[in-house]
Amino acid sequence: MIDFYIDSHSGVPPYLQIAQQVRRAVKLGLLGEGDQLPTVKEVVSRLAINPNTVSKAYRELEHEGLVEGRTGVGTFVARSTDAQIFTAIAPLRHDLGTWIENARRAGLDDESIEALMRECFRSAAGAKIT
Amino acid sequence: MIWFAWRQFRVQALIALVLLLALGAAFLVTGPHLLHTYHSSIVGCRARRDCSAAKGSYLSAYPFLQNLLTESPLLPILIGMFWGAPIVAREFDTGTFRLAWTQSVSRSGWLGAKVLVGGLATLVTAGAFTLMATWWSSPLDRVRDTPFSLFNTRDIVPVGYALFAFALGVALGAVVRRVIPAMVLSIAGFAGVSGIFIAYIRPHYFAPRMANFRLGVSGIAGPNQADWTISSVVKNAAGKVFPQLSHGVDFRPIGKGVVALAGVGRCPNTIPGSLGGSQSGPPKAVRAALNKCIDSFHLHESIVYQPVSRYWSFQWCELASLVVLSLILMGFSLWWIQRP
Amino acid sequence: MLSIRRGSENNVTHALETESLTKAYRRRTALSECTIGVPAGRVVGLVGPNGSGKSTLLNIAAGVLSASSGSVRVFGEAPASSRTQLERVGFLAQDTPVYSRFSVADHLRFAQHTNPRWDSSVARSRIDQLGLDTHQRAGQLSGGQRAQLALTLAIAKQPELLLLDEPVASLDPLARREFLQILMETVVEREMSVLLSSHLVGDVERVCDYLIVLVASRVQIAGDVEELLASHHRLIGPRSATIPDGQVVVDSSFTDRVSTLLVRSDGPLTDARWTVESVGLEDLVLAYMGRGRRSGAGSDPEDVS
Repeated sequence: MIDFYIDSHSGVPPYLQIAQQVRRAVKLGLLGEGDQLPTVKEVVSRLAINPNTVSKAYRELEHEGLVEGRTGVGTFVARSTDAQIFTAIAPLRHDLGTWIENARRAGLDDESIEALMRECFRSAAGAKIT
Repeated sequence: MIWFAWRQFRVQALIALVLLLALGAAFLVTGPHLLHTYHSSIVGCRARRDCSAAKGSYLSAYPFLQNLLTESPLLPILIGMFWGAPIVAREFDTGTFRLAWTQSVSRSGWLGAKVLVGGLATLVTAGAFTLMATWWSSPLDRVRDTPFSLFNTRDIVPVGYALFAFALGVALGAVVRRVIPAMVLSIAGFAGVSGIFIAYIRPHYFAPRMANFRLGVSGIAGPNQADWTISSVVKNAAGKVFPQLSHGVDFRPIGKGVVALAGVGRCPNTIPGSLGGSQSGPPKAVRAALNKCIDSFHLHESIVYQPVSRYWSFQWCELASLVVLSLILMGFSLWWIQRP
Repeated sequence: MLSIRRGSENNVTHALETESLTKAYRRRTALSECTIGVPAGRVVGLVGPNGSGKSTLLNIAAGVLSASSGSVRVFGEAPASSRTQLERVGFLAQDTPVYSRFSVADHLRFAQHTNPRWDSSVARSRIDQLGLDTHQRAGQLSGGQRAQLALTLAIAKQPELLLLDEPVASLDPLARREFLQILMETVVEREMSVLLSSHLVGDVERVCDYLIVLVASRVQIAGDVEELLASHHRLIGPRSATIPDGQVVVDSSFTDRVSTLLVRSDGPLTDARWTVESVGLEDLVLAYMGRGRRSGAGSDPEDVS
């Protein structure tokens, strides 16, 4: 079961934050196919937010096909990360961790590291790997 | 709502009970002594010829209890202040009316329950108190023999005043919406209304009687002392009023054997002696001459009074009037709080 | 009165409706010509600075205060007009008045006796969940506990509309969070309409999906939170640039080089000189509160409906 949180200062609307957290959890394999998301009531009673916020997030995810709602039962993850991607994640995480360490040792601060990563990502996004 | 109204009233009821018990104890301790003294010093006083002295000293027994408790309107005033005024006003002071008036009860039902509990308690407390006070004072009252002078605090009328004070407190609290001002206004209102009752309403429950009495040198011959004299004027045969003489006849010597009756004129007859005299007053001959002087002016006393035989009719009339007035006030309060 | 309405909203039932509601005292006016509609089934936030009339509006809606003029309808009837009407509305007054000499159990019993729809199992489980000692006097409870008791009393009578007057203003952050948690939980369980007033925009952002801004006894703006956020933008442009068409300025600030405007967008922005940014709810509310203060009791906000 996933534990949501809301960052009220991020400037991102709460429903988007919840949707993002679900997507992230599925991508990282923390939520798999058939896992149940917390009910609206559970989320609301933990975070003290408007129920429509949660409903809206779940609706969006349902629209994407990521989750499916079963009336009377709850909301469940409809598909999980590609198994292939899932197995690749651990070594990729390890590689990234090493790279970050190297950057730090070279003297870059956190802001520069993040800016460097973004720039590379953006330019690499132009050259897609098919 | 009755349960809640009682729950809110519990502490006040307890205080009343404790005070009643304390008073009861005080009366119980001192009452028998009063009775005993009555039998020992008053009953045989005529034979001993010391009635006025004995009565005087008897009537000054236990001054604290007499003044405070049996001759003053303390009970209804306290009831009006502490039981009546806070009923609505306190809920406004504390803001709890915002809690009470948003539950699913009608406001009249809410106030009605409180008024019922407080009203019943008032009747019981006032009844018990008056019973005790009347019992305790009965030997004193027998000596005083002026039942109308203690009308407000004996027998059944005090219950009416207590209920009225309660209803007045409730109404003032509902209108003014603050406890302390409502308490103050209760005292003033109660004093005002009792005054009006005593001066203007009570004399007219039954048509008063009129009687003429001969004016004598020993003062106002008058009706029975126990009767209630509403007014008395001294007039002569022609109907001229002599207000000065209502307080007593006053003779002044203006020469040897010549005396003037103050406010009237010179006595046409001669007075055979001095006006002063021994302890028991001027001698018999002088007194006869003075009476003859008074008669020569054709003076008499015209009295409007209520006979003491009507005492109980008057008690019932006043009680009924007060109860009706109380019910009107309660109805007003129930109507007034409906307004948002 | 300015309001942003969905096209379909004219068919929505309103739990509470007012029209030109005014409350005037001898020396000041607490509410001026207030016309709002609180849609049913929503959590509506009533925001504004202290003294802007929020409390007055809620007290009138609850039926414990009379209006000077104008009309107010709760579920189509005048407030507190009948016992059935009183059953449908729950009210939590400011500073949570309770009978301080009475215990928690006494309060529950009082509410049970005076409300036919009282659900004692819900009340009892809520009190247990809060860990309140039922024999403790209400006057000895902490502020947060008193607020929770008052909320329990208001909720367990199963109202359809819950009115809350600054319920968390004097509570510490933890008590505030707990209060809102229980409130939101109840909204899910029960499909209640809620109208809650606050001067803390942060809380309103979390729990409300409809907003009414009240400043200086007048309504500045009212509407769906999503739509308000979608229709308002921050425009940044050169000082010399004119205000673009179709944009209504709510708030503005200028330096010698740059203009920053907070606008309501009635139409698309075509002027390329302006940079468009989205606006957070707090800034939006502050902008309207500032505008309300400036206009005071003078000008009427325009009516877009």
